[in-house]
Amino acid sequence: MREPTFLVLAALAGGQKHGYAIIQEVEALSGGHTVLRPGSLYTTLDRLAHEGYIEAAGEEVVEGRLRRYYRLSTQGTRLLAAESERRVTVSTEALHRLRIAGSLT
Amino acid sequence: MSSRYDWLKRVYPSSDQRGAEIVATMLDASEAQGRPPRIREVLGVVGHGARCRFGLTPDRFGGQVLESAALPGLIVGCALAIFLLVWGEWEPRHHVAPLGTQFGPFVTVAPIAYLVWLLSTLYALGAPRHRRPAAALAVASVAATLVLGKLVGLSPNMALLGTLAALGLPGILASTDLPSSRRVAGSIGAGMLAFSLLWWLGVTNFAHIEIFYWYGDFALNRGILWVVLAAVVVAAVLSVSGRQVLGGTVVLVASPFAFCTVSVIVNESGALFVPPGTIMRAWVTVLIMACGMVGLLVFWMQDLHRSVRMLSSDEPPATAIG
Repeated sequence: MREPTFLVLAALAGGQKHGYAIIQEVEALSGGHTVLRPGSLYTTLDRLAHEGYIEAAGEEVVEGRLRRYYRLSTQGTRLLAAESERRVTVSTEALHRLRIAGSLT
Repeated sequence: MSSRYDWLKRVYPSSDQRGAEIVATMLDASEAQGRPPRIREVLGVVGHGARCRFGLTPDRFGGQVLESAALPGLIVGCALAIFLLVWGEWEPRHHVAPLGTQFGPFVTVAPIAYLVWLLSTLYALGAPRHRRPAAALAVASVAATLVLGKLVGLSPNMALLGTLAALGLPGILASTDLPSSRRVAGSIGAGMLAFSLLWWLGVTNFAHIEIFYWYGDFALNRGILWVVLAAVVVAAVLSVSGRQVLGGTVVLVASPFAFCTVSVIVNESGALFVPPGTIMRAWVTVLIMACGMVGLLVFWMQDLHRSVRMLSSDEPPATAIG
């Protein structure tokens, strides 16, 4: 799974969000390393929606601007949980090996 | 600031509110940073809007075919580039040396494009997220080589270079995604098949044509009819069995080779020493490929007009977060 895709799913883990809120959340989650541009964000959202990992959760107009909200589907929640666990396992193992090798104090 | 970017909404299909939604997101993001939208952001929205309008997003048939054809197109192009480098530029150098100047050990300037194509493909394989710029660089190098060839008087074969450029277009137009290992393996398999066919169609005709390069389209025309026929039959079988995207991919990757036959029709019609049946064979090849393309267009247009709005919802947000 590409990093931006993982970050978008992770951004929606806390509940439904609109486009700009997802951009903010992705930037915060990645420590500022990943800043999604709108075109890239919506390409990712199109793909995730097509694959059934996210779904539309309503829309509203705020100060004349349309905001459409997205949320994780059940399938998306399962995918995010599985991917997160896989990343934790790999990271834990990597840190363990670094400690054994004496590279980490 | 909002009204300045209203035109961006019109890039999107008018049937839904995606343009309004995405432009709002772009303006929210830029205003939060106290600046107008950057050109790259605007171009990104234009690109996404155009893909939405023409049904080329990953959720639509056209987008899936483009994405499926992106890597095979680059790798089949790589096979063509390697083939042309060896048998089009290196091998015939002794035949043409007495005829005039050469580009180092090669016949024309085309090896520049072949080398760039080879490196771009390797880069796209190693860094799939950069596939689109890699494909753009490969296609641009072909265009640059054609211009350079005209300038220095060492023009490559336009039909073969046109085929190569067309193979890179899906890689530019498709949205970037990480290809599965199955797709990578399939693409490499398609490249190996293409190289074998090119060798069979091109090199086995050396007996008849002393210099392959300038007569390359003529040489390929002798057998490409059967390759194109096989591709269209395979695509039809795949489509009938419900695998329309794979069928469309086969047509899209095979169709650039029709350039060779079109070139034969344009250049050889009326020529004195054309073997009987050559022009007819070229027309039949074009006709078969056109049938394949029409099938692809029918599926694409059907999908374009289907009234599914996957990302629309009339319900208000349960809780407005963010």
